[in-house]
Amino acid sequence: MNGFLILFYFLAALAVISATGVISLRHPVHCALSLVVTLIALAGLYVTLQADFLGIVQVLTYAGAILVLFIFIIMLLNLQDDELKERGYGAAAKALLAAVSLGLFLSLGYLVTRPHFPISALPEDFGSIHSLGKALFTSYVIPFELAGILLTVALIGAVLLAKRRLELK
Amino acid sequence: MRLDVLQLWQHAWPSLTLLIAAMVSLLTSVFPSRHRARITAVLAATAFLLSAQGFFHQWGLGEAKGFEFLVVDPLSNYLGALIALIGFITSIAAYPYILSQAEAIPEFFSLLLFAAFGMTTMVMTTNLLAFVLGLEIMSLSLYVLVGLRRYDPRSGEAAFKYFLLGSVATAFLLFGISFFYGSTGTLDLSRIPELLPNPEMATLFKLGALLILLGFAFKVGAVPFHFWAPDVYDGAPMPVTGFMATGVKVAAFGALIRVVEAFAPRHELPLQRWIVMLSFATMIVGNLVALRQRHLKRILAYSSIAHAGYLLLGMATLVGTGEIRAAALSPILFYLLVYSLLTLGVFSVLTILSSGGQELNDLKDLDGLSEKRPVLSAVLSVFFISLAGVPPTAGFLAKYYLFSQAIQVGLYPLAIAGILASAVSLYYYLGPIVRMYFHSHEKTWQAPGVMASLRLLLALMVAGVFYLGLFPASTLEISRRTVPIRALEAPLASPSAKLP
Amino acid sequence: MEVDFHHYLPLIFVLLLGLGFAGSFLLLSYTFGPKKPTASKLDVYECGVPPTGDARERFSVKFFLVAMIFLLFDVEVVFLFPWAVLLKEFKAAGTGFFAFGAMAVFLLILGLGLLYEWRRGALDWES
Repeated sequence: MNGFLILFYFLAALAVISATGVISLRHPVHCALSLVVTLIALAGLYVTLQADFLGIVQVLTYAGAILVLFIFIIMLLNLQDDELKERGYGAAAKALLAAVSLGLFLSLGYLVTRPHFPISALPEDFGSIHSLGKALFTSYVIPFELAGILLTVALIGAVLLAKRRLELK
Repeated sequence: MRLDVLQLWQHAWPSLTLLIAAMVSLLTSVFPSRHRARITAVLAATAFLLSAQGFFHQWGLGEAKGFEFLVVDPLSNYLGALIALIGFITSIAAYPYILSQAEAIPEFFSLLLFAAFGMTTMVMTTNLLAFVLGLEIMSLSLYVLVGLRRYDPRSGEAAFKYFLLGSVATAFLLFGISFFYGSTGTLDLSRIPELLPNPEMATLFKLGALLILLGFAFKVGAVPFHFWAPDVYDGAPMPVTGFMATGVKVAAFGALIRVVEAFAPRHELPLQRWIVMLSFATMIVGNLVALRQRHLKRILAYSSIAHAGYLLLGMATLVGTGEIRAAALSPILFYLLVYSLLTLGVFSVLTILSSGGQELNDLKDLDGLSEKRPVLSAVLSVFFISLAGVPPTAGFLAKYYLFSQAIQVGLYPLAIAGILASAVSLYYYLGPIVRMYFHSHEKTWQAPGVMASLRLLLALMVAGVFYLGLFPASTLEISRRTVPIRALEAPLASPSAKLP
Repeated sequence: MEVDFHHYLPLIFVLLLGLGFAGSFLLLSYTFGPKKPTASKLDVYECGVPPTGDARERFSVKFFLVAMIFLLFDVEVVFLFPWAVLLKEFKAAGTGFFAFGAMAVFLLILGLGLLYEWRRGALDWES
């Protein structure tokens, strides 16, 4: 077992455990912090999978920007301790739900790991900013522009829904 | 392998027109003008009409051209023209309503154009990456449009619900697409026929296809993934509801045609069984639950669910033969046209009635409408009767072609269920008509007079209902000649798709 | 598949160094720092005046809007990185104009969004 494999399993376990934390912790801020760990572990996974640039982008946007957004929402809602009651599931229902999710998780894991995926040699600069940029500005131009349009629509939506008073200058 | 921009413009300009108009109408909020509302409305309507004309012109050329990520073929042009026409009718019918109900007038038309652009992208691609991007452009625009009545909590609630559940649907779709990519090594649907079945990947491939289908079922509102529709339709502004009920269905079913076309030759997929089950549940549940609704928009929501069921029945006939055939495709395309015409007709009239400042909601609000607004009542009745499938209107013929196709390929139980379900639907479509004509009025109507352009449009639409019902030959011929291209000419961008 | 492990050694080294420094300082101050707690030392510090109200105040939705706009332009910057790195290479390969045009259209679309936002007053701080 080489170092990379150990790192991969460590990060994978970290991602799964912290993701469980996101849905099982009681306080929303703890959930958000748990989510940071998940996202950073995923970034690490990307790096071990040779997708360096993707890993960096993951930290930059997800762990950086999106988590800040989540924290703002949590502060906006400002839930007090007495509002954070336990969800109304009994122990039996919780165990059942946990069993179902574990079953789904294991069966999906089995399905994904069973077939032998064809392994071909990676190109020299796979996953680097170089190869990504080359693809993005040659053959992937149309999805790239579509992504720009998507961002603009999101921009309009954010202003329309969150702005208290619309002005027209 | 560089994109030829000039060629792209030549073939895809009707779609790009929508995009440009969307950006320009956004700019009207930049320049100060008293006539801002009118300018954006005229701009949007002109762009929609120009785009529809362009799509139709392209259809007439009958060419098929593949770009990386985009496909321009008769199918995309037919659906694109339909989407642009839906946008055109919505933008005209919505104008008085938007003036009275919303503060974000330039944004309304801009988002309408953006959504229509997303829809055309959805039907203009066989690549799942571009499809998802188009879907999200459409969905994000619609989430915001639903929440456009910013001070109405019901509008906000509807937008929130739509956003959450729509995101779940997209998650399903993306999960399915990732399995699809993992098992085939390509994101392009048109590549599937080349790939030899690989028993080792069969389960993953099947799982991917199933999840993609479920994502679609969510978007078209098929049972059991329909729960969002009544609440969202109920809370959304009236013209937006009409746009959603028609545009989303056309775009999603258009994309589904491509998915079904790609998956149909793969016999390891029980595709027909899946679609038949979805269709069965959707027709039955949609029609039966509609009977118990008291709110006009909820009735129409369940009606749109029921019609999604009929369209899924058409999809099932598409798979039955093992490969796509024009004979099975044309009833679906004709049905999409007729359904959009009728549903938009109903919503246009309801939008007019809602533009006095308060939203029409309860079925009771229609009481005695025929005395105050006899013409509008008559027009609304025509659309409702036709939706129920009464001859000699378009709604009857559309259903007839769909069901007879199902009988021809031997889907007897499904066809019988469809016929029975649409018989039931007569009851809830007649409900509003009875209200209008046989109940005394209590409400004082404040709805303003109807614009001349809208009057003309409604007259044309009513004429269309009877024209398509009595002389369907030429329109059917158009839908018969609308076929998707089978393979792309251009080499594909995805990493060398080899056998899984 | 051979993986070039050494390529990532500096990264791992920096991570360990950062964690080690931060952790060891915390540990050192915890073990060697004098601890003589009094009531006023443990009290919440708020500029010397007695604290009032809850520390967790409700934030305005304005912050959310700023964060949202930041996020969207953050994603835009992600697309700019590979473009900036590769533009010279594209130019050498004769596709510089195409790459430039692609980014120009992208920025034009988002720039219009920014213009809209500015004119609609979304960049102003509502009071």
